[in-house]
Amino acid sequence: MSPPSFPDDAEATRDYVEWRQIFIGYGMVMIMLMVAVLHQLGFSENRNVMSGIGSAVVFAVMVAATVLTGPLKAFRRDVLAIRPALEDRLQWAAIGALVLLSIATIVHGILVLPASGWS
Amino acid sequence: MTMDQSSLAFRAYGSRKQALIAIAALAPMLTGMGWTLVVNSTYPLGSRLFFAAILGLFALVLVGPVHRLVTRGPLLEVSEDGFRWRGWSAETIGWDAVKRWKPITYFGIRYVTIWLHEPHRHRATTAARWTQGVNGWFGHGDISITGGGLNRSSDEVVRAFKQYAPKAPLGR
Repeated sequence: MSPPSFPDDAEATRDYVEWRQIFIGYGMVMIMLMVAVLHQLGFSENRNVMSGIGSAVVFAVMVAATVLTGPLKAFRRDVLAIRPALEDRLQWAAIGALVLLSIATIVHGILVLPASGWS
Repeated sequence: MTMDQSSLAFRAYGSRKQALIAIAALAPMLTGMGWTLVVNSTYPLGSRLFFAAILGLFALVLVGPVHRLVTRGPLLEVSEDGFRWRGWSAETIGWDAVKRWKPITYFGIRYVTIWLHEPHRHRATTAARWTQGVNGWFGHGDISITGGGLNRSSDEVVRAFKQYAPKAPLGR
């Protein structure tokens, strides 16, 4: 067995994350954004409506994940895996958009969320 | 002792992508709850302070990502001289100070955990000093290193120790 080789410093600064980490980040921000938007639209007073919307969103996310996982994995394997520079740019773009969405969610939440919680 | 600066050393840097994802994902939840329960709240002062303390504890999760964003240079270096883990201290710990090490998996997270001959001679200068005792209860050694938050995977960290540590690991 050949000894493991480690890349030089230039390659050592590469910064790859799993795409699912980015998607989980989006999910967490979207939960907060959804809560604030539903409150803004006046749904937060009705627990049944909130529960129904929450269930529908969870179902939609599960369906979307089931449908999209295959094509996305294929795209990663066939395109991004052989073009790491493109994948790096796409990841930075996705993370940049996530940061902007996060800031917008914070500002929006401060503007619309009521005192002492939303219940 | 200084760390070998040759390209033969294994170096892992903080992952800025992971740090930004963690901060961006958690910040809206923490600020939203902080706003409604503490700042813009009608709860009595005692309750607001209680909520603030709880949220403060959760906010500690962000210390690591923020630290990785601002830290320059490698967080982990492993070479023939020893290893330097900035999550523990800025000191390079020579292999002669290491009693044994082994890779372990805990809650699905892989670590390299290290037992030292004289732990009191290599004290942590970071927040790791507060968790050292607790880690011992879970079967960890004096110092535990994971690939989480680094730009290298846990497997690569384990491979680096296998390559440079003079003794074979004790097994999984």
